[in-house]
Amino acid sequence: MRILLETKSLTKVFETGFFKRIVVKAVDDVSIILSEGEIVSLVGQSGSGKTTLAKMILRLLEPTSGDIFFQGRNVWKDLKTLEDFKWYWKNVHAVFQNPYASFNPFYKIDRVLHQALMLIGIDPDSPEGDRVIREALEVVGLRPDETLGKYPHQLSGGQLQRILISRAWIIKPKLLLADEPVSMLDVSTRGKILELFDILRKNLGTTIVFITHDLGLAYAISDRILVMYKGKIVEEGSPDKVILNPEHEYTKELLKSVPTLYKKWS
Amino acid sequence: MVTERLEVRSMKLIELLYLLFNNKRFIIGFGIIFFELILAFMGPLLYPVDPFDTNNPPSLPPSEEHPFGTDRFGKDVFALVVYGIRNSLYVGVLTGTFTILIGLTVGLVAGIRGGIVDEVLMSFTNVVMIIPNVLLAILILTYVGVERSGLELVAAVLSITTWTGFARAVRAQILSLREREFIYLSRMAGFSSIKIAFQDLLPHLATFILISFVNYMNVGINGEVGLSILGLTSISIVTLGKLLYFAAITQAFLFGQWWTFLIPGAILILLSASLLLIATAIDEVFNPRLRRM
Repeated sequence: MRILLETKSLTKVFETGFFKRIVVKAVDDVSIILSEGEIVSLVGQSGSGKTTLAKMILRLLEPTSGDIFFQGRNVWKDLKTLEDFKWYWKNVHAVFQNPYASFNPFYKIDRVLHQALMLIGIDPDSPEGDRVIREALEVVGLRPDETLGKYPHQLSGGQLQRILISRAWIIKPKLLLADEPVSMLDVSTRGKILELFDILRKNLGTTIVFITHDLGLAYAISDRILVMYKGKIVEEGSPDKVILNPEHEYTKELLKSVPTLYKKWS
Repeated sequence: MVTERLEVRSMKLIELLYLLFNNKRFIIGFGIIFFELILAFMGPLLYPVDPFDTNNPPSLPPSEEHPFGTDRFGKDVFALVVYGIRNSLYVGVLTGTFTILIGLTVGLVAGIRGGIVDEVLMSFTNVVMIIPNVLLAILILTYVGVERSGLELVAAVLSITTWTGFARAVRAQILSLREREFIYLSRMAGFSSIKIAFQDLLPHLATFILISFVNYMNVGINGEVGLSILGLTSISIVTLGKLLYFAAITQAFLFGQWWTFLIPGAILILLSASLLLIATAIDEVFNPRLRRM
């Protein structure tokens, strides 16, 4: 499999305080390789730096040191103009955790889809734009006539998350970062949303990075699991290897804390 | 999350006006200000008396010929009040506009840019905050020359020190908004910072800006009164504050000429109260935590 994106000793340090500096190493010397068409899960507890890593890969947060290479181009140093950024975001896109916060409540939900169309160079008002939007909404199982023209507060969390996945479907990125895409949804909708990511990969060959703290979910869907702890990648490997034969202390701890059915708490 | 969904409801203009006019405070406030606006703009047509005409008998109490009486110089108080309201409102609107423009620019730039720009701008804001505003106004107005300074300069002098609180509030709002996911999604669609500021951030600040504008209008009107009473504004421009100033220097209180200061004073209080009522009403309608359904 060809390498799609590579990070080399990526580090992000947050500093606060004007006189007395408080330094937090959110991401510490992370080097990962993402290949084409795989589903990778990034697992870790809150504050382990998962989202910070994702933001740096998405070109939303500048790293303190280290490089990110996407198809051979250095994301933070080679890309200069807005056109370059657009090219990058056309290829690397995201679905975020909180579907309610992903929509600006002042605009109809059509706006995020129109943004996607503008990104790939289709006029949102043209018949073709309309056709693409309707097609994308049908892929994620929404009825276009019942969805378009509505405001975010008129739709449920599951519907909103589907719309964001349909945005990814319109853009057809090579890499999709899903930052805890189902953690805000109830369990019955989760499965359906996860299936949509599978559809994306099967039909478009998208590489998907799942950021999650749910080991069970990571085990079920991914080809590879990365475990992150205090800013570092502490364990890496196939789901079977990581879940059945964990090497790092933190992974063992994590596995022990997963609640199981049929076992009484003592 | 449920509260957040309820908090900002997109509404149409007619819906908004309907909600506003269902609010008692807004109706009272709007009624007063509407009456004063009518007085200010229709007054000279309905009551064609020159406010600078000194040929009337001086110090007349209210009568049929002069509804609000005349002052010591023989000027008609009603005509003066009509002109005064207009100029006072003009100072208020100018002060509101200047304050909002400066505060919004500083707050937006500091909030969006962040980092060193933020720190420099906020330090500057803090420095401006501790400058005594009346002292600065006295310095500027006496340096320019009281007779040469127009209402625009008065408004500018008042705005120079009042924008700080607003700038800090805007920055704080931006800081909390810019970490929301929809900002990231707009950015990833290739939107520039300016486009994001106007399309994604400003709508969230709109009601706050409106309320602040009304409040700063009030600050402007009352600030002008203060400067007038100190004798720091031009004598040839009639404002409500200037009428109080004339009443003070002609010792109207000692001579019992109540109409020269009570009437402009009452109108000033009504104007202030109505602006406060309108600001509170807007807050009440747009902020669901204060809304009584």
